[in-house]
Amino acid sequence: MQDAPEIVIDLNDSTPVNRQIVDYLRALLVEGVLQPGAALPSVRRLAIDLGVHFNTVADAYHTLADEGWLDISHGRRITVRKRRRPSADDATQNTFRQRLRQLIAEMRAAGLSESWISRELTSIAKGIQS
Amino acid sequence: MRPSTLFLLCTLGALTLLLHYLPLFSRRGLWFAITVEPDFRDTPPGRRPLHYYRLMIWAASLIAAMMLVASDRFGADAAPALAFLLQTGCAIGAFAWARRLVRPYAIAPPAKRMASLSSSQEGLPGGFLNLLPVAVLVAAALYLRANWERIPDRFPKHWNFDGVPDAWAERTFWGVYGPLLTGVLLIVFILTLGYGIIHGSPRTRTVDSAKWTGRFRRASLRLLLAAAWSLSGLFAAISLLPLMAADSRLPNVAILAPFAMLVILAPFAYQLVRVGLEAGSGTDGTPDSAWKLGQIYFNPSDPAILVTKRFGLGYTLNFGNRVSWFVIGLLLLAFAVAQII
Repeated sequence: MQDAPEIVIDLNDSTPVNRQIVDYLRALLVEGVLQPGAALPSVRRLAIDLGVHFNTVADAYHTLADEGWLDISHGRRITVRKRRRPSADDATQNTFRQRLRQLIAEMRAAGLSESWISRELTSIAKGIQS
Repeated sequence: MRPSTLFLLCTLGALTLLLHYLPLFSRRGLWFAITVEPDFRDTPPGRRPLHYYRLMIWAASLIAAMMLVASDRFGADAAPALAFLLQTGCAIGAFAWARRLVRPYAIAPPAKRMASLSSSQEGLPGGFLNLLPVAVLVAAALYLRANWERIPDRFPKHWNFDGVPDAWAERTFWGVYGPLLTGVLLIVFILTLGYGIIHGSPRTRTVDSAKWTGRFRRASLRLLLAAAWSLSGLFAAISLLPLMAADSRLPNVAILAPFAMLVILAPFAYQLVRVGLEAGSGTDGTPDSAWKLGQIYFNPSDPAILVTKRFGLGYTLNFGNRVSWFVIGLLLLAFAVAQII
């Protein structure tokens, strides 16, 4: 039997915990680790396991539901939805271009080479099947 | 020496041994309820608190044993209670002292938290079979009902150490079915506790102890269920005593039942201890500051109702959670109702 995927958060990270949960789950969803139809633990279960407030987990699940990844209908199990890939308009492309630019600037400032950054970006983009 | 004194001395000895080894049963990343490096307990500053703790335990136990022997000789009735009180008080003091010695070596609990994304519904091992202990008690009640006329009007319900009855019950509803009802309450309490562990305690939490926590949960649940099964046998045997105690002497079954219970529980307790001693138990991910006196967990920001104990084996309530107080209230209510009835 295949082990269920796991989520890891860092309480010392400056990113809020609900955002960490969203980012981690979104990565698993985009990579296809969590397939449509797969069920996720309840808000209560995940909050107890991570030791964070129920609202933190509920907020993260709502964000992903708003993005179209999860079905969180009341009284039902939280499941992964089949999501149609949205077409990115110019504004969206510009937003991500700006974010990438900032990230790459940080990487360069930390001493990483152009070729290394390029290789990593290509490898990550190829590894993700959305 | 009276048999009762001998029994009390054996109990005192068993408790002393338990207290001697109890610190070793905690997670490797905890020492006297303080978060430390996993190998801290094997270092000289780690061994020193254990040494002092054990010294105090054995000194207190020796004094308590002398009190028991003196009470046997001079007949001081309050001495046995005082002896056990002394041992308990000194154990609490020894633990607090050892904890103070460990505190300077405390480290922050791991900031990384991990959880499984499995949504599978856990259940008690054995499923519906866990209702059988209650069914055994119901069967005993039906047997008593069918043999109501054979039950003496007055029958012994407690015996002293010489096997002579020192308390009696009458053939009434509560007199006959009382032990069965107590058994049902205890079994329901145990099954509720098991349910609480499954649904109200973390399956994982820290990255360094995820697998161990799973094994510990399973071992704890098996021990609980074994307790429910053996209690059902014990209370069924006790409830049938009025049909056996024809000559009012203590029937053999009453002596054998508690021993049988211990024999049934021993392998499950051993398994729990073995898991407790395993490497890879890491830490529990709870802050040291939330552990009052190192034993009472009070953390309103933790949604868990039950967490693993920091001293000893098993689970303890999170007193910072309102559900815990609701459970305590229900237990007190059940106890009060039982007393009134």
